[in-house]
Amino acid sequence: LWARSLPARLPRPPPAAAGSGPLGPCGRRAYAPPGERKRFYQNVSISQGEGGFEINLDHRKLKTPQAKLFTVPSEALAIAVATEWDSQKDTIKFYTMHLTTLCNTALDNPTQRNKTQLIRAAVKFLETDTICYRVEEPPALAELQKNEWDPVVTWAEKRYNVTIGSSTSILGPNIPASTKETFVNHLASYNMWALQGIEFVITQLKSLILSMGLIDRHITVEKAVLLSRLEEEYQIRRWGNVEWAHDYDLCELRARTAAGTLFVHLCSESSTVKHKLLQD
Amino acid sequence: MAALGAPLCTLRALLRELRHAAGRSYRDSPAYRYVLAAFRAHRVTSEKLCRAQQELHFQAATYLCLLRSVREHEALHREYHGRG
Repeated sequence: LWARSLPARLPRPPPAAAGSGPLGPCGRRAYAPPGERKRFYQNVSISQGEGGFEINLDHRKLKTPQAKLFTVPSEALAIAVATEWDSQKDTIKFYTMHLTTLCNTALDNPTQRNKTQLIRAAVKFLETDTICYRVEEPPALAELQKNEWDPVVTWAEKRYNVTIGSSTSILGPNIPASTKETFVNHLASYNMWALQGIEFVITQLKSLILSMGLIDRHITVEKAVLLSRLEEEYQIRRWGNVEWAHDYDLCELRARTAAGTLFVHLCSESSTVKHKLLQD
Repeated sequence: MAALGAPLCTLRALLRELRHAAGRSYRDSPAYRYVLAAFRAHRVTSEKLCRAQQELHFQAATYLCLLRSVREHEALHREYHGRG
């Protein structure tokens, strides 16, 4: 059981969409980052261009890995991205710059997926949703899953007027087609940027339901991550915590999930709120 | 609605994280100014929190989680996975 608590390998490599360099063209290079690079700029600032808000590193405009101009639709998002760049010290740690990564993905769309494909990928996760998959053994874990996950499933069923349920079968729950359709229609109301964020959060948490809980502000990021990692937390409590593995994974998952959630909200915020804030 | 605690606590913690991220000139940083302006614009004027305030509070709590987790993750990376 110790083996289950320890990671099989060293920490994951930096996310694939972080970019190989912010300024130059990447040519035929794969969509992958160098990991770290010396900080080469003094000042970070934001400016408003035709396509939206841009990030300036000294006098140079930030570009995506595919050499497109880095523009974001929301001022708050631009400020948060600028903060990521400005908080880098001697070296630029791309693997910590989750908002930048998400923006690059939205701008470059390296997997070349359209809205329908993104939605389909997101809803497909419902078939293997973490909180619908229940164990029977050990009883303590089964009880924990019931107590912690049932309320969220119930919330989703009420909120979206669907049937989801849960299962101990290896095949998982039987999700009715009408349920999937409801979620497809709901996700269709989000723009492409927000959808990239939603799909990202779902793949991090391995749960569509937990992700919707976050997007709908029903649960916090900390709670969503805890619920996603329920079995790990149970094992940690039984067998002990290994800081360099468990906490490392926990912090990374929290950071990515928080970034994804914030990204979704900032990309879908109402213009009235934005207008009011820009008046200051 | 997510259990978030007092908005003031979130704001203070968030500003603290931004101070940590920005260094000496944190008060002039766009993020610091934006967060303060946003909280001022949505100041609680009645007992009942309006939807916009709840949204802002949730965003602030999420951003706080992001900054905090990145900092902790980096610290763990330096401690256990750094090279020398």
